[in-house]
Amino acid sequence: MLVISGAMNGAIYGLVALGFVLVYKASAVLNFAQGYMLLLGAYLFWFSRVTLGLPLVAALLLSVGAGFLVGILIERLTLRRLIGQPLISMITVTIFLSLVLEGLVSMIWGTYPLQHVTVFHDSTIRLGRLVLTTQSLLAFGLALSVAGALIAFFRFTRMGLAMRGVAEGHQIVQSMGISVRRILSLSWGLAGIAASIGGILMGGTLGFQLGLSQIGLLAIPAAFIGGLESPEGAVLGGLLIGLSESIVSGYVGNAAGVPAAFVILIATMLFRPYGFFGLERIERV
Amino acid sequence: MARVPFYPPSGVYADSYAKDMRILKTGTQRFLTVAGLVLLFALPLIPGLNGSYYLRLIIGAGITVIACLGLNILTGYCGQLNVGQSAFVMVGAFASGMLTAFHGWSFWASVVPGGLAAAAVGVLFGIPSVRLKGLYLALTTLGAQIILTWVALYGITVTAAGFSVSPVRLGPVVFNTPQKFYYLAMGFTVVMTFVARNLMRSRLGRAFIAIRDNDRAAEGMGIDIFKYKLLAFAICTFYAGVAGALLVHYMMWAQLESFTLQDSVWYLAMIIVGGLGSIEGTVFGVLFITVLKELVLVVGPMAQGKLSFLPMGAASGLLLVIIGSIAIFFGVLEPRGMAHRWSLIKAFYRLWPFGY
Amino acid sequence: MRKGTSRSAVLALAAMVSLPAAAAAQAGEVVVGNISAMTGPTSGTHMMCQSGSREYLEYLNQQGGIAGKDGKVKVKYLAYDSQYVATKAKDGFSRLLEQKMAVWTQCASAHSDALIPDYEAAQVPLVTGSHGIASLYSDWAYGNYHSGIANMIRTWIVWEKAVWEKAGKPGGTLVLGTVTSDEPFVPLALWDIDAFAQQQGVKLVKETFPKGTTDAGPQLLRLKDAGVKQIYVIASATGAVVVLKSAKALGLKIPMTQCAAATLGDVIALGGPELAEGYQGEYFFEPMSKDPALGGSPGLKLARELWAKNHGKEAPNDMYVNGVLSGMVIAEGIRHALDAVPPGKLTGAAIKHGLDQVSGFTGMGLTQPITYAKDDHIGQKQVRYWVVVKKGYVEPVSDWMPTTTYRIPRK
Repeated sequence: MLVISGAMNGAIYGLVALGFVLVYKASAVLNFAQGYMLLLGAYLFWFSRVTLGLPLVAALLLSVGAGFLVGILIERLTLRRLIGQPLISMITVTIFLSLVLEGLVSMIWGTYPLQHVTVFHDSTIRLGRLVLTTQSLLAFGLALSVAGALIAFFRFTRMGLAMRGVAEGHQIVQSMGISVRRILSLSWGLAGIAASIGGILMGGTLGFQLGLSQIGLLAIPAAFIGGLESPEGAVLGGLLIGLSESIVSGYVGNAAGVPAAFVILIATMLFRPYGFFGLERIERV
Repeated sequence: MARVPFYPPSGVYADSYAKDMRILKTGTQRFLTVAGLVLLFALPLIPGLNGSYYLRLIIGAGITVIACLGLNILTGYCGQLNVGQSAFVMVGAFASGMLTAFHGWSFWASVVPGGLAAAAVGVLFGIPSVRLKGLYLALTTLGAQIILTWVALYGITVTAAGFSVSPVRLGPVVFNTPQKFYYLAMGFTVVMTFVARNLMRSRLGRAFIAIRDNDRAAEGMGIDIFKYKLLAFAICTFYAGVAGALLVHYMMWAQLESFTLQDSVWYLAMIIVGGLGSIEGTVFGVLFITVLKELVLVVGPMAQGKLSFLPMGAASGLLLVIIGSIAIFFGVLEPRGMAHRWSLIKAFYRLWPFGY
Repeated sequence: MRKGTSRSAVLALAAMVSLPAAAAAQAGEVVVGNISAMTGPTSGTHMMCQSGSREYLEYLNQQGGIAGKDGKVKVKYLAYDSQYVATKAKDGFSRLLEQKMAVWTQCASAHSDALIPDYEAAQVPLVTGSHGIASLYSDWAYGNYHSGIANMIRTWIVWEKAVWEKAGKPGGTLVLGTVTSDEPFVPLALWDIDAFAQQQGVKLVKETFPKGTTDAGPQLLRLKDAGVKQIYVIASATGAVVVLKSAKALGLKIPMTQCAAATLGDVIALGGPELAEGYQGEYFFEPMSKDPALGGSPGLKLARELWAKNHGKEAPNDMYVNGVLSGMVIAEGIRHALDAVPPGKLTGAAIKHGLDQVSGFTGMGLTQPITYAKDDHIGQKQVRYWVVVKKGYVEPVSDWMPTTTYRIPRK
């Protein structure tokens, strides 16, 4: 029971963590605005479902599409201008970006949680003492399939390879005839999609509210655990965090799950410094 | 006989090693330093500028400068990413606050233990840096934030509830108003800035920079990287602890909610905006972000009335958009931090009129 | 070195010049300050509180102002965004003080504690529904309700025990459960609770789930296995929604009650009326989510009118009433103060004196009588339990009942 509940919960973390991994993999930037892109994605879904009154599938497609555009727009307006500059400056820009995104959301929709809207009908499946909700099954399935698609993308397509190259260094890739701009743009767009999906799932569970951004940030540890470069790692990291949350909190109490996960992880990292699936870098002087 | 030019040469030339190593190299610098210090310490006496509100802003900025100096030494000079600085500020704050509130220590005796407590915890979390690098190291400091907050929340009853701390005393003077605390905070800020500046041009600072630039190469040059990395962690978190001790005695109230991951991220943003690996950049960045955040005040009341057609909270949302946009614009314009632009201006001034 | 200091001075100067000078209060005006998080995740609740007191006081201005025997004043309402940071709240307090603030209100108990030395030194009374721990002991803090965070669960235990005794003590011993999310206020809410439960002869089972999780199923299952009869939920509205979803998924039938850290209205808004149906919660005032068919006090009618006028398009919210109530208490204090001093002498100390005169004040029926005594500024000490019925409205399930009066030791 604890295991299943932890795994379901972890799948959502994993899905959100994928957004971090996508941007990191293509640009070596830890995107602090990911939680806020998730927030915007959730609110865009609410907008198309409630304000525009679209049917569920149309609203989903529209908001995910809008998430893609938001990602591309962000890249075009801000990070594009930082190509070739120190990576750390890109990271700061994402911090400020989170202010803009939060501001935009509260400007348009206010600071109070939006009226509730059901995303997926929450039916339950019971297997003895086991209880599964369609919502969590869906999140689980989505996280796994999105991760699978991404793994295939990075491994088997030219574009995926180019993305990995961009993370290594802009100049080198540029001189090999690959457009850094296009790659960055695409990876931000994809991160926007991941954020939107995560946002919609979270919004459906926790309500459409500004707090979603903070919950989005909780996925950072998941991304780290699996190794920032690895989509499969992100999902696994999410599962691990989810499991340790439910199991440790279950047996020890006092919400010790997350701190405990960190203690274990830091200890583990001493032996596996690049996460479980991270790329080991060989350095030369 | 060589002719002595009637104007100073453009550029700064040192003709001895001692001269080259001086912190203040030119007369202008000495003059500006003295003038700046006098202005800084005379500020609470100038009518019109000595309102509590302005002084509080500067006090807040001063304390933040101390925390950020530490962070810049670790992250900017030594290249070890730390995303949990506010947790170490918390350790210092609670350690020093508990010493004065429950054990009857004076503030003066509690600052160093506060700093040392933070440094001890910092070194503990710095140990993984032997193996971890770059963003992965962030995991351990992120862990520090989460684990330390958890300990404060569930492990220690007084820190969970918060407690009041009596104001700092020095003889008959009680530092309980912004006008008085200002001197205390500025004194600490100036001294800590000076110490940081001095440390970073010493053997220690050069070792840090070598580790940042390439740790393997540094090791090859005979630098004990483990020792120096831990030292960097210790210095960084000691600064955080001192900032925490000041903060808690300034607030006269110790509470958990003042130390969040959000704060740590802001500290990081400040040193990056100001300039990594630059002491003056740290000061720059803190002031820039402080002023920017305070813009809420100037525009806020004006916007509030005119935006009543938008939903509740929209006015503050608009401000966030404005602040964020300015900061992004700035980041795009000056990706190497404000310190970089500053050194360009300085170079221009020194070389004038024969700039190239 | 030189750069650090000289530059900081120059930039600080620039910062000051760029800020406009503080506007002083006009004659016949009294400045009411508000410090709350207007941005960030807590801003939703804080803005509700702020809007309530602001719009009530502005409504009084339109009615001609607040009048006492010695004259009449209008309210100038100024707010500062604390971003939920105590140091920023301190900055804001100084700023408002320079703008001649005479009384202030807020929505975060953390702020009321952290600012004690400031408002005591400045002699500016605080009126709030959100007491901290230390401010319960401050002579300058006035609550419109609430006898402290640790009493929420204590009062609930007393209530459940009374209901159980009335039913003839089924089961022999009463087993109660509580499920909490790891919010910073939870250790305070559970302060020394085991001793209290033992003293009441009640078995209390406690479970915690992490903030940000989407499933509290394991915790609820363990409560079920422990045989609890009722569950008390100490969490934000988000946490409550997680608990309700998990309970629904498990088919759990144990009745649950939300603590006052979030209102039932919030839970309905976040999770939808269907999910919230049957969920119980506590209110210290008459909530706006009350079924309109049940009518309401004149105070509630006014609050609803103010809401419709200012936020017609948005869904109503209970915390707004809380803000209106704070505004009413402030106005009542000023009214009493104006009985003793003319508008020109309406200082913080004068308003405090006025607040000390407040007696039997119900806020037009919004709450039970508030009377401030010399060493008791807590306000009214009664609570009422409500339940979510169909259509997303709430109706009372208990009468007003006295809260326990435990105080967490100051140190």
